[in-house]
Amino acid sequence: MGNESGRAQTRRDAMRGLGAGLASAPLVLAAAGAEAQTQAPQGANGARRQQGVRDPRAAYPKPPFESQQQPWPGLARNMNPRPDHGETSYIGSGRLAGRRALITGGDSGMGRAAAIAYAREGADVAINYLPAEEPDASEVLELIRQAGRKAIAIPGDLREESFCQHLVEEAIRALGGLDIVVCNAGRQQARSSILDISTEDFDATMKTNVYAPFWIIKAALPHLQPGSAIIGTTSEQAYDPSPDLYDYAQTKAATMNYIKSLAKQLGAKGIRVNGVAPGPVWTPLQISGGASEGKVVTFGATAPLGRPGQPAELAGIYVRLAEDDGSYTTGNIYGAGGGQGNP
Amino acid sequence: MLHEGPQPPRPADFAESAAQSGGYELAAAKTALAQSRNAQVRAFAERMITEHAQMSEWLRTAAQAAGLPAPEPHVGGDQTRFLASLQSLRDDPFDREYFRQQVLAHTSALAVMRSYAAKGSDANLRRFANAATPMIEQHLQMALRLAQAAK
Repeated sequence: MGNESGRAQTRRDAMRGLGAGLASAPLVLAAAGAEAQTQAPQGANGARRQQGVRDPRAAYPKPPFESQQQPWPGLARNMNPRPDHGETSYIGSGRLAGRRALITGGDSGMGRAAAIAYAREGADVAINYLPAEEPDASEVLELIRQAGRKAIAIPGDLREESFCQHLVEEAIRALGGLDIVVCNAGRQQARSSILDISTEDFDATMKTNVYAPFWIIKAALPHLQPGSAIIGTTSEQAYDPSPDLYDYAQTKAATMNYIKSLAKQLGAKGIRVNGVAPGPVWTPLQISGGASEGKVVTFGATAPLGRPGQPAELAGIYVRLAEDDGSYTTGNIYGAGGGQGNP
Repeated sequence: MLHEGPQPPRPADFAESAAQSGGYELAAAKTALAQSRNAQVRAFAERMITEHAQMSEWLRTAAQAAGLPAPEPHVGGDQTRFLASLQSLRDDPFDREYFRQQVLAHTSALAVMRSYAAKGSDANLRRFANAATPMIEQHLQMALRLAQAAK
């Protein structure tokens, strides 16, 4: 809290900072005390940090996976295996105390992992999702509340400019301001040929992945104070596109690029803009038309780690790019590619 | 028109997918014959060349009967990564990786064949999928056994 000099602190903010400090105090004491040798630090949710190293190859499920498909946009709760978004493992330590975040696509995938992590790091969080994703979203909202933070649900379709404007206004109203904007929601539908992509398909991908961040950032910018952070979810696809992701891959290249231009534009305002570039990550987007049937079964197999990433493995990246400690990082892309792809 | 969610497998996509898995099998087997001295690997690779060449011929016939251009086996997007990792290995690590990939590639091919056999729109290609399924199942069983033994 003390380093957020650019923003006047309200009494409520100060109280929040105090609360987060108290919550993390036992963790600090345990680490300093004799018990540190035998007892792993424990988060507010009961999760314990593992001691020693963990083999990244064996940390999560490996392919082959069961053949599975869901109608778009798909639900994490119906996937086998269920993706890990850090529900039982993420431990916060006040890194985002008193911050206010809006996350699009916060019901599942990387957005959900970020939402859980942000709340446990002390931020109030508004999530956007499609109405069909309500079953996943309600779990996330409950997890944010369990972390003791404000959880705001703003369902709706990002392909409409008017909704994007409403989304930002509503988030600011409900959170009392905004200083983290995560443009994460994405549309991906695999098509083996460009001939199979209709203008409507192409338009829907562009609207969700390129126009929505444009509209959201435009609406949010007048409200963002110095110290605020904008984060976009790009992809390994920005650098090494798959043949059947012609439309999606170019939106991720556009995302990687807008992050760099906006960082140059907003540096002078003290607002940082960064991107996250996942490799193959096990999310509902893949099993609801984002990947072919054959690819789902062996998803992540070509990555040198031999498996897909889980959203939980990217949670800390979203935290890092939002927190004040990362204050010199702007215009950069942070990868989690399992050994394949860029950056 | 807007298409969202998994689409029923279409004849051209299925033919392309089958041609890619055939192409990968042939390329991986030839890499194995060039780089491995393990008798089990070499015997398995020889069999893959014979039987996937046969399946490729069935596929050509079925695709033409379906009114599609005859697909030639070729390596697709993600498979280039598999081949690149094989090409950089020798000895035991090569043999382990070859069988690991064989399990994954045949699991994937089997999912595609079964799906088309059940839901595909063209009868000629459905017949091909039905004929190829037991052969791929057999390859998968062998690969699972050999992958376990190579560990």
